[in-house]
Amino acid sequence: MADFTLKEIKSLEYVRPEIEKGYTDHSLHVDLSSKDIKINPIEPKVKEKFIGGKGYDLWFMWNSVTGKTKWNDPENAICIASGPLGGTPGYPGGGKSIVTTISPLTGIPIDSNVGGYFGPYTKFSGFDALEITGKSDAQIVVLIDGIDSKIKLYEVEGLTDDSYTLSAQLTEYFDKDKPVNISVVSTGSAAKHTELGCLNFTWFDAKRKRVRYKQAGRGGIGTVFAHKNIKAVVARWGSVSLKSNNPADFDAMKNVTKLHAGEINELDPKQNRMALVGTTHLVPIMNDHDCLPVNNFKYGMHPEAHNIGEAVYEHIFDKGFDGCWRGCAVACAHGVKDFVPFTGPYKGQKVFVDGPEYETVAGCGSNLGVFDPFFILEMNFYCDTYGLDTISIGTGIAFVMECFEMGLITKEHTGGMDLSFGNRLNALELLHQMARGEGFGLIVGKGIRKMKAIFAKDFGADSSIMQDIGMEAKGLEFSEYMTKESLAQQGGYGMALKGPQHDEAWLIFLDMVHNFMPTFENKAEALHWFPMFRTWFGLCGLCKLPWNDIVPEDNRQNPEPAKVVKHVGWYADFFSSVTGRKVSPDDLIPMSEAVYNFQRLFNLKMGYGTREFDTLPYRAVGPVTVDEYLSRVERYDKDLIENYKVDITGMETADKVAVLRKHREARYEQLKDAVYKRRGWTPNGIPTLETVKRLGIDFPDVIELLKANGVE
Amino acid sequence: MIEHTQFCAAVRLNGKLISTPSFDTTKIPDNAVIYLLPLIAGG
Ligand code: SF4
Repeated sequence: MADFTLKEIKSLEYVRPEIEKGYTDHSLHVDLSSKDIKINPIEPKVKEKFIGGKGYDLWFMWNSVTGKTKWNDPENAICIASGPLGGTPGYPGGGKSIVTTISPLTGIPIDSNVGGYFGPYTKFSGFDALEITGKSDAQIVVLIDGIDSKIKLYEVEGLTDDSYTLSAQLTEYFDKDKPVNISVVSTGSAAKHTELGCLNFTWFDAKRKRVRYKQAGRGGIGTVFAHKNIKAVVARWGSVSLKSNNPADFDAMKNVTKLHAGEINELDPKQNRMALVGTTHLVPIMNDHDCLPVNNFKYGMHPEAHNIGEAVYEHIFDKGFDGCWRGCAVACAHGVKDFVPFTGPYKGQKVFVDGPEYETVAGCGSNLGVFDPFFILEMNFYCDTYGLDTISIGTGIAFVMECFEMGLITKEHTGGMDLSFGNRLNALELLHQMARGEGFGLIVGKGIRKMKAIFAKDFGADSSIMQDIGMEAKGLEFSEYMTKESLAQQGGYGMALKGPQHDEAWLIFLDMVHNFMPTFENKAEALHWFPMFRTWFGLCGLCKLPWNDIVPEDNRQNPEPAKVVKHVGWYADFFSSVTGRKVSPDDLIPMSEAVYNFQRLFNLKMGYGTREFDTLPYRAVGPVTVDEYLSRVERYDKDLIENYKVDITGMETADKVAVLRKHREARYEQLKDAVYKRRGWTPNGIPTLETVKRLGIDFPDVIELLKANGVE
Repeated sequence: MIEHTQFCAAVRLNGKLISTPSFDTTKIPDNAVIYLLPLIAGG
């Protein structure tokens, strides 16, 4: 039996708000400083404008923080919400949550979309959104018990920090007989020592009889969670059915659920085979297109990449249903059974690894110059149980390795570790150091932006080269796609609200391979439509993978194949049938636009959110070094000659690098102009007064904020 | 040679992934089963 104690310090019994058309119209607020627990109704005008999910999260945060709030101030809120459609069993991707907080890495709101059962269980327990503020003196567990209609706070002693073990122990503690009723949110031991902490959201895998988890990875939300002294937040709920959301039109909802799930069941085996290989099919495809990040995004392919792609993981993944929401037909959340780590506290023990997904494979594999699938599993396992974001870890260590190989840092700084590319044991040792709170791992755990400052100030490293190769923007590490040869994707990362994460826009193939958007205006249109539509999933409690990772067989015949118009129609039907608010496909974009612009304004409120903060490191735009240029010499020479009309006869490569840089940087600035215009923003990247009025987000404090920033 | 592959960055040819850079040079065996992969705006 587990060796820990939970002491109940507060209990609130409540009358559970019933669900009506996907909503409970109530929110739950827990203040860890005062131990106050409040249940508030959500006003109809908030519901109409912010829809749910990320919209609700941002609204509660906006009202909780000031422009001066830092991530570790007690008023910083962690908000978690599903959305009106979240919790629909059988609808593909129908059970996600969005988590937001002020990020320790960026100082602005971060949002992270995550699977597991927590969001839907919290909603069914009576709450469309959960907001946690304050800071507890003692380590605390929050329980939202929808079955017994109680909210409880516990002080906890003796509970492990390791998320892997903790999740299983708390699941058993809170419902030993029916573990499927429990979902646990927790972080791990490294979250409190670093700024890269993630959250693990669990679900109980009934077939394998074990607790599984998915991560709200980005932006250090786990660090905020640990700083507030939260050990776990637990939701408890019972049975779930198609009627749980009490939809407005049950038959219509059932019909669209059947259509979408049926199509995926039929076509996924012919297309990306995600039910078998998850997102690892992307590894060889990215590699073949010279887009797989290798050695800190320096190169885009490697002859050993096939060792870490679908062909290998298909055989390593444990066979069986892997939906991170009930009945999701895509079922792409794979895992590996009986993996035995060769380092760290779990060395020699059999563990279950949840993952890896493409991002982890590319970040903790190819980007570190490692093509060993088992090493990636070990990085994946320890990142999860230590509560670390695999993307920031991968991109961060890749930066460290390049600095080490360039001689910007040496063994003197790393505690004697050789951190050249490919050094697997020392990469793992960095994780263990982060968990133990010691050594060079503590510096790496601060993220690239702070590492650059420390390396320059304390180790005398050259700032300008680190600025070029440190793959962060707005303070957030890049996710694992190469943007150098796709201007549209440079915009997709550089102008993403929270920092360079691909969930806003993923346009590499449309732009680079298919040349689907040749003009600035075409690109700007894509950088309007795609981020807005992708935002919509986060408002509603949905996963976006079923939208475009499996597409109708006749999709190519559609004039706008990239939008997967048939699915957009299904989503409009799904929304209408659950909420009773009749919408057409054209209505979905304006819904998101209001929240998207509100988030941009939130950045502005926090002192960011203008043009200068949409800047990219040059490696995201073009080749930084001569050997990088030479690795794609034909492409770059052609670019200079054909696109920029440069006579390159007799030019040294170093000069070509410099000239290309001048042109490509100017081109990115031109793209910013086009995108801002399309989005209804000023040339400085701020939503205009006309835009906020059109979207109905012209609240008095928004108008004041705009005025303070010269927009009237 | 693999044809009719607009908006397709890769295909599955008898279960094996073939990406656009190899389309021109890939020989298709008789009775091959080819599926187009919808990698249009994924990630
Ligand atoms: S598509 Fe994959 S990630 Fe999305 S809900 Fe389904 S199983 Fe989870």
